[in-house]
Amino acid sequence: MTSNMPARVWDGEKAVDAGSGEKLRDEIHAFISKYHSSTLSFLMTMRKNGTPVMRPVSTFVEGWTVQTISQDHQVKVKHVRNNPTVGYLFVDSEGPPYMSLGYTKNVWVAGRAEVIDDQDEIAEFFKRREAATGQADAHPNDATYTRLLFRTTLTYLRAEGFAEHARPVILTSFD
Amino acid sequence: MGETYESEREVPETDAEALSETIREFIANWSGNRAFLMTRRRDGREIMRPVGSFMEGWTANTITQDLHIKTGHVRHDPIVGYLWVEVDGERYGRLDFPRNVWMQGTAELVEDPAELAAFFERRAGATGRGDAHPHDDGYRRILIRTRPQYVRAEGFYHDEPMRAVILREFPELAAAR
Repeated sequence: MTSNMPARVWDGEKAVDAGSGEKLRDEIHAFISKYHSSTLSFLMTMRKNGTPVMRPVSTFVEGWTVQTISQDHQVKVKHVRNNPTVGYLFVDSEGPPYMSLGYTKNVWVAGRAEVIDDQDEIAEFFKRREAATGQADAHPNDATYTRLLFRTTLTYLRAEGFAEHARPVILTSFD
Repeated sequence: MGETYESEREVPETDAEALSETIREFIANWSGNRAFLMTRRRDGREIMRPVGSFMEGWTANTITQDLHIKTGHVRHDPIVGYLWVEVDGERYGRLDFPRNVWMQGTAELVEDPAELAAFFERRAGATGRGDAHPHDDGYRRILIRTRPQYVRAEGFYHDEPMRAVILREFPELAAAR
């Protein structure tokens, strides 16, 4: 945990260099791609007044594209249609902690979401998700709402708990 | 609307008010949750990272230092957000999440050494944690002090924990003005 902490606080908190960050890319990708097993995910959207709000969501990650199923009546759908700026926070719920305040691995990503309305595309999404995770449409018997898909491409990623101490890894390319 | 909608819609305002103190106590219990702070970069994009938080009433306090990017963010744009996620709590709902609270607010930076010393004293009195880095003379302490405008909590509503509890009024803050 906090053993061998550097003498200056900052030395344990500054971002790692780009080369060291690249070496951790696959590990970070695997972490955010865990489907519900131990990685919790929260989605940020923008309210009409320009302030952010977050709530728990499920995510399914393909490549570096983060996807969340929603429903036409959800407030977050209005938010994303109005402003495609979104972010996700991924938090490890199992540990172990990497620093004294008890924090476990966590990743923030910022990006832009598009809302997919096409029901054929959404049906394909459920098929792929089911094949990968076993989870098809979570509400197959509720026909009272229209399924929608948020598909987010990333512009920025910040990961903590992967490099030494509390030093973040920053990634900005996702090809 | 159908069962999915019913299971997730916002709770009535009076029920939210009744849960207000429970939610405040939850986020104030600093060893029972983990806090993440959202700030805005100069280009307008949001970023989040883990922080320590110490609540006084509905005011959230986080100690930072001038070297930290988040300090510059708050100086430039006071809109911030906190997310608290429970540690080792019972899970609720279809997604199997621990209880969680989002708070959006406006932040100010407190840099006055006397105010900071008083803050550390109050925090040490309440939690046993004074200045966490007393050995580091190069560490210039700054306090981010946030007052809420909007709170969204999940996992708190009785038998329907996926329904969001939303608070938009904070009487204690209104009274203090």
